[in-house]
Amino acid sequence: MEKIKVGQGDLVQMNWDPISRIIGNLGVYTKIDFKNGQVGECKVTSSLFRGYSVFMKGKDPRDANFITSRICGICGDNHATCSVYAQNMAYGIKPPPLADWMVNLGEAAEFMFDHTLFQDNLVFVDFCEQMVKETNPSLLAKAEQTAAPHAELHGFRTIADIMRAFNPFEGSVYKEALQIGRLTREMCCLMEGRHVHPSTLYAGGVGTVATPQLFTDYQVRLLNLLDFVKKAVPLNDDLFDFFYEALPGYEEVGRRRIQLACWGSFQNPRVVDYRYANMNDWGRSMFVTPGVIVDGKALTNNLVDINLGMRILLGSSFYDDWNAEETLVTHDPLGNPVDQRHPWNQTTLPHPQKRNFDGGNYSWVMSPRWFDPQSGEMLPLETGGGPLARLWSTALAGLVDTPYVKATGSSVRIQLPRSANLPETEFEWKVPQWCNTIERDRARMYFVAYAAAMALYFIDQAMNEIRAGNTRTFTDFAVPEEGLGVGFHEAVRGCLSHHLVIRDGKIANYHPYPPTCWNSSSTDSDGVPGPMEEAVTNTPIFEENGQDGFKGIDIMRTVRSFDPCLPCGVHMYLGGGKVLKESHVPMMGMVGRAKRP
Amino acid sequence: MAQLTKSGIDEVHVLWISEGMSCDGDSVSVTAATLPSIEQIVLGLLPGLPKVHLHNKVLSKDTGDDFVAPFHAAARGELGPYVFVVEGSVPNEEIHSEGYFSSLGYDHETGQPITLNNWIDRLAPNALAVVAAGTCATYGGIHAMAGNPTGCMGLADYLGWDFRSAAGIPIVNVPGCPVQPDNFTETLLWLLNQVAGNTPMIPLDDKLRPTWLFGKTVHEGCDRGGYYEQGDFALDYNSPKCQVKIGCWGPVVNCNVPKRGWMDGVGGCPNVGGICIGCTMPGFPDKFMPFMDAPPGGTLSSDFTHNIYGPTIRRLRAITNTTLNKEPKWRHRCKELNTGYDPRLGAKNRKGGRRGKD
Amino acid sequence: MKKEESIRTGKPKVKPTALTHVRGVRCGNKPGSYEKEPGHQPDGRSNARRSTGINAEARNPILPEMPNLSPA
Repeated sequence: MEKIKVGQGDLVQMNWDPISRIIGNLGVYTKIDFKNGQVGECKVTSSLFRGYSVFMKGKDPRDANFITSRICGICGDNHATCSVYAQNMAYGIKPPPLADWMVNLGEAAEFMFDHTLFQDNLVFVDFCEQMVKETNPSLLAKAEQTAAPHAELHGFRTIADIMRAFNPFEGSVYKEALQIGRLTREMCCLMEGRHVHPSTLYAGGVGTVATPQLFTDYQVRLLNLLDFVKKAVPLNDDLFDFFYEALPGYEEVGRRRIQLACWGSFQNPRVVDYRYANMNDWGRSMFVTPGVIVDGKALTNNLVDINLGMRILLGSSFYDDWNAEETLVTHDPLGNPVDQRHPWNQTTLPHPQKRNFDGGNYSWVMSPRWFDPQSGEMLPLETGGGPLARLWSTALAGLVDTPYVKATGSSVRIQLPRSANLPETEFEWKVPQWCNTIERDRARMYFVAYAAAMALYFIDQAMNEIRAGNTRTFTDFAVPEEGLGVGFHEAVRGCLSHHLVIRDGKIANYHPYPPTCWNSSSTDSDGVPGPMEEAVTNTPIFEENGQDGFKGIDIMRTVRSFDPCLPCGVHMYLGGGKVLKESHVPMMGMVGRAKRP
Repeated sequence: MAQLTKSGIDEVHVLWISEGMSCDGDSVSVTAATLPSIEQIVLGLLPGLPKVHLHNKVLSKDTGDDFVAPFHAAARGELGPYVFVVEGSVPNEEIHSEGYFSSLGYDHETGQPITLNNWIDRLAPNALAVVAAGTCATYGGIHAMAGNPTGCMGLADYLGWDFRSAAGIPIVNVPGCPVQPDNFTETLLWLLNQVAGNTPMIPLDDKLRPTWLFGKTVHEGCDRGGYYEQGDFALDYNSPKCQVKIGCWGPVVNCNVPKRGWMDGVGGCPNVGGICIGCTMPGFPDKFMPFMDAPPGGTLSSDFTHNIYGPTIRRLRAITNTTLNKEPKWRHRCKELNTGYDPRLGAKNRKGGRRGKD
Repeated sequence: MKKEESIRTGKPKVKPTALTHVRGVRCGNKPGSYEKEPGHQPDGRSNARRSTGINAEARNPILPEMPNLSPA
């Protein structure tokens, strides 16, 4: 894509602060070239600092999952789970298989809940009849005349009928989604105690008591939501395909080079032992395959390689470099050298200063990148909002194979059994041509179906344990004086890692790197912009409003396609115990909460 | 048009700022409520209430300036009656000379962000009611942990514990990390009824919590309490028994989650195997850490039931339970009836027949 | 790192490392705890004593082919 030169056409400053219908704080400041219908520049600010990595310093490592859960109010259980994985490694333990199945079930419920709420109650307000009337009235008129291809499945006759179903608080699917969001959260509560901050997750396993009643309660709810899922997937497809047809060129909205990160999800308890030395094997056995996907090809599915490739760069953010600071971890447990820019070694030296958009520092968000040893590139990976990277990586790897889900090498086939009103149904998510706004959004509902199909498999496995009389869900452990751990998981919106260093039985270093850090990273020292920066810049404008009454709907859709979850911002570890001030964070692209150490 | 409410306040805005130092978990939690649900409130399905306009960033259709406009209007006194809800810890903006820790929107003249504290200063005094949603807003919560860099606190610490709203209501604290969904919507329902003139002042305890929700300890409402009384304790997290020896603070924490479950009876904390970490309490989290260690005071009474009272009472109950698990002897297939059947029992001139054996 | 105080700190009212495990305090992860719990077996299975203190033996299943599943 060609970059617009500043000065070509008149650029008008348009700001949206705060962005609604996301989690956390985000402000988008753009310069729009109305004459050419393009975004010329985009900078994003975030406005909150909390300091997790500061106040976690020196605390008991066993408290880490309880504390880090509070990083996020919609995906906190993803953090708690990831923290448990990191602690299991650091303590040298493996929970009983039943516990891992139960965590998988809880996490599957979380995906089903969060994607449904985010897509149908937050994202789709940008595509609802009220909004389209205000931004693209001629598109709405077309939608009234366009028959929905899968009307016989979901019951909505025209595309406009679909759009009406998502009007906030009034649309039928909007309201149904709120109820599905409750049903799925009950499922999460059954396995993890409560939502969003679990009560029954511990390093070493779970405190939830496994009985036939527990699994029946979960299974019945799962079966009760199948009808909704079977209708939601074709409903989404009809709407998104309409956008491509009715607005030729819409594939360029939010589009960027394919550079995706998926850190894997859903452990396979038959294989996982949480030992770093075996991480490649158990990573590849996960029921969502980890991978780095570039230009449509998988560079690796090896979690050890993924771990070693992580780099935290500076370039546009308010920090001094830490190359001269202590190297806490020189080699990983396999003897591979660990870079000074790796999260295990990160020492954050904040340096508050005036923001400078012209080639200077303008953000509190650092620039996580992934070093590709083959090409030598520092890749600005994105998660595609979560589901896009997960499905893409899983599809290409061709490893996942359960009675309900099969990865084929170019697609993922998902089978859902007969439900109250609908027959057995198969969906196939095919690897798309582009990484853009529509495909990020499309993948989301497919992943709800994926998670449901996985939950059906996990229930079978958990019940088999119970039927064999296995009831143990927790393994005892002692916290070592020194320890190293990393947890890899998928937060709902994408790759999540927790890096932990224990010294003297206490937390010496703790760095969560959630998906929004990657997605909203700032321009790095090599001048490479972050994924959201790139996606929003040069997004063509399809909105029919001119400058007056401009809603920036194509920009809003792009921003929300990443499923921004700003409380999961950057966490920095501060070596010297000093704290920095928070400041306004304008930057090129979306940014997470500037977590100042 | 006919008046909707007794008080004549027929429309009320709920201005919800989740831009305290929060995770937005309380806003998300409220979408899980069913008793009542947020849509029941917003769609006016509960009788006798004013029409409610909800302004919450997570759900709002409007973005940016459109979203913040009602907040500015309220600060200027141009919005009409409103309830002010704060979510997230309140930072201490006095400890630094420039910059800020938390903000909502920006000043169009200076381009600078408007701090949360500035919004609180301008919106709290004229609100009909001021509500703190979740433990961060009520007492500071997780972000106020020892070693924290922001010096954050709860709303009552910021406004003063004696604060009164324009309608004379103290700050209403609904703690919980996150807030239990129905605890919040139920409290909001009382307040809306109060605004409508249907109810008296909302009853609050000394920590400004609704008394009917927080007046009991976790232990008093926990269905594992029977194990405690019988001196039968969990020693690790595999056990379905009382967790007071492995980190549960239930006996001394004010919360109703074990009693009402997390979502209308489903889930919870110690009742389902999650040690109570005291997340509704002003002392959270520091006074409960490290969470997986036994609370210091728990040993005294639990050791008493564990070692002395418990084994004795269990033995006695076992004897009675055995007796009660046996059917009476007269239920059998033999040819004689032994039930004590006597049709003339109680009659004056009874000749009497044979009495059965007991 | 520069020493300028961008945050004014006063005398600490707490030590940030005060909230860690004290040796000797009982904790739920302590190795050996599982083995001490009545009703929990080494092979990961359990019996009725896991869930009740009242006549547990009588609450076990009566036939060997029945899995031993006690309540939550």
